[in-house]
Amino acid sequence: MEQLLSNLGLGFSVALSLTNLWYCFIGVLLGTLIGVLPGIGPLATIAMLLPVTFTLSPTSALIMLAGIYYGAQYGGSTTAILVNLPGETSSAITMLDGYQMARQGRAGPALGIAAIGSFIAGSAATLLIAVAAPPLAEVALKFGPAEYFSLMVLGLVGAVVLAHGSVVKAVAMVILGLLLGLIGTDVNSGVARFTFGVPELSDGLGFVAIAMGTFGYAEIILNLEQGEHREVFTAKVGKLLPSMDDFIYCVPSIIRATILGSALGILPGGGALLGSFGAYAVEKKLTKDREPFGKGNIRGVAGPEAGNNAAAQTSFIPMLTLGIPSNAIMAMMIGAMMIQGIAPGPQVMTQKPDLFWGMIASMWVGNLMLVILNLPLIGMWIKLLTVPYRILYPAILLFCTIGVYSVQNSAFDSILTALFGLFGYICVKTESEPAPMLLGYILGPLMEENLRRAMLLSRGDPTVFFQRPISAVMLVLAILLLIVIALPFLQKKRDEVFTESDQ
Amino acid sequence: MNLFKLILCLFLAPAAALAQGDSIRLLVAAPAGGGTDAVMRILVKEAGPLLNQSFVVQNNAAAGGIVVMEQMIRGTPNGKTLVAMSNGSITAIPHLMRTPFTADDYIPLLGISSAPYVVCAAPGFPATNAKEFVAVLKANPDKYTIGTDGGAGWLATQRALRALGATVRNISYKGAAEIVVSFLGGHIDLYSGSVSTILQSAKADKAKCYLLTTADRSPALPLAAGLADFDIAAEETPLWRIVLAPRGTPPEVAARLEAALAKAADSPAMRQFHTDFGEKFVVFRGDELKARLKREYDGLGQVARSLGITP
Repeated sequence: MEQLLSNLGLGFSVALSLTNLWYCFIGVLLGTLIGVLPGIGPLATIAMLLPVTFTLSPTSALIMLAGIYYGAQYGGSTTAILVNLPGETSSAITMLDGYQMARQGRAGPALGIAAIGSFIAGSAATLLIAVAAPPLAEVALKFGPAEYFSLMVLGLVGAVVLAHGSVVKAVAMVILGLLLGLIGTDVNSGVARFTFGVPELSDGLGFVAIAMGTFGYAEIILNLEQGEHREVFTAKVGKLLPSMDDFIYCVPSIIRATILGSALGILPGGGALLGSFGAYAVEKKLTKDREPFGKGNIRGVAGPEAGNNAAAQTSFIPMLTLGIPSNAIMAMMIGAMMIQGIAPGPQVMTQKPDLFWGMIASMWVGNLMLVILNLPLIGMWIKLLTVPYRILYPAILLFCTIGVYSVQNSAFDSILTALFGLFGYICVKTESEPAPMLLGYILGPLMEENLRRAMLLSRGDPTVFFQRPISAVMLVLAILLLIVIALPFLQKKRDEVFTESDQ
Repeated sequence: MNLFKLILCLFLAPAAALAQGDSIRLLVAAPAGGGTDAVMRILVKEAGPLLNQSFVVQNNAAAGGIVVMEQMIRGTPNGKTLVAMSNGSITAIPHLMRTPFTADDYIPLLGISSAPYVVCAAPGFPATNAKEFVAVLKANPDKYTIGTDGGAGWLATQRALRALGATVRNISYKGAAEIVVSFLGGHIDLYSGSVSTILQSAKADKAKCYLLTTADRSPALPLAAGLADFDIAAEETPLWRIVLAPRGTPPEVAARLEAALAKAADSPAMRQFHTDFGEKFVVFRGDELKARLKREYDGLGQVARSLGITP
């Protein structure tokens, strides 16, 4: 404990130096901005800023880059809530309830709870990193191919829970997502599948293109159809901050989401995205009072926003303690360290304690800055809603297109986004929800890769998934969840049978 | 009115400069932040002043480099668009998937660095040195599982293991970072990938590294034998990086670029990077570079065919 305090003391002394405070501020400010701009994500931004960091001290460079990453999680929610566009991929799920709240004139409380939830989750996750980073990194190693496969199965069943409305349509959308995920080069055999000879498809469809298209562009098309309808709800903007009542209502969600998000962030391949999706699914299942999810329940904003922030932060754990990147952004951070001449790995903690603890302390400082930065801005963001469509929409489309292009410097992706926009519009018209499809698309390829790896390792013995305890527990959970989903469905069928026989 | 024109000029000048391509675009077929990207960024930082031109680095790792290669070949061959990639993109990938280019479509300008792929096992593996390690693998054909990248690293490792007469079961991952996680968790027996990814685990006694895919040994991993120790130095496949220009680039332009890049490569920053990450600093140019590419392409082609892989 004393060790921890002295470590944190060292960390804060580094993080609170004027230079580092300044770079932390630049980082979170940039992060918020790119978070708000749809499509321009932290990955592209950090890639563009890498050369700039050559000239900084390693600590300042990493503090700034980290600030961009978690700052983007804050900013992303703003666009999601106000204009129903995923400012950040991880805020895609926030749109479901956040945008509904904005329509009901509760944009202020939605933005407020997003910022507050993020802050609480961010602070808790920072503390978690400080206390438990090394042992937690070891836990993540226990996840082998079999465990990952079972985790993905659980996630997919969860995706069905995510959807409201028809279960059949949700299942169909999950399967469609799985199919889309098949496009690209097979990791095991190197065979290109469903690429039709297009080299751009050989790495699969771009996630940003799909998310931006089906959620963002589709929304814009829909709104064009409705004309300037939106003016109605901008008139009643309402309060700027959530009430005490709202806050107390959200506290349990924030706590649950922080725990779940922290856990998902540590897993390799995890990160902010899984954190927000996971938290939403849990909240949807556990919340029975107030308005239903998808209709503007404030917990549908608090949960995922807390979840993605917690996960964004804990995804630093494997990077900092083992030198292993859990996602593309962490890979970029490792690159930044390498260019600075620091070999990432467990020795960073002991050989460069000022860097390690300084960065952790800066995360908390950065989170505080973000709240201070974001709460007063809410009033300004809401003004965005009063900008007429004819100005707002072309601007959004422009930023989206640039953003998608910047991910891979690929015009193909920009075209793809447009096509998925059309597809998203069809989805809305047929009342099929795209969120489960997106999850299917993300989890599908991971599931397949790990299934085949697990089977190769076990020499084709499928019982391996039940022999390994972690894997078995998750599969059992998935089966239970399936039963829970199926029960009302079956019950209804039976009721129908009975009513028919009564006649 | 004049003032207006002046402002207009000020505003348009940088845009016009960009449009005319006064800078050189270097398309890097590797994600930003990796080793190849880092080397290239150091290289262009040094080469820019020599050529009196600025470089713009664009990362696009799609399809193992095929996409940027196509971009470069389709463009005007005036030396304003170059490609940088690791050797696997042109010596290994063409054996694994259909590529829309051949060796005639590009001019290699510069080859730089040489880093081994390394094969490591858990600390409990029953071998104290490389010779024993190979003996255990040969005594137990197809028993041990090895994590590879399923691409260039896989072929490089297979090439060495085949020459030694050992067979292992391949499990493919997306890059060394994924492999090392699975390896440290004990889910696979052997690690095959870059030295830098496993180096810290080896130093912390969490991995024993036995075999390199280069002829020489690496000072960073004293236990690991090079292929020369087994008298099969010709079967070496290191990881290295190349800069390419498109076919049809005027010879004087290509020569000027080559000279500047070679001079830039020979800089303290570049040497420092190689020392820091346990890679060998070497530069290849001209005919030596071409011969090297050809030899490696043919060697890996044989391995791929012996594994029954056709593009």
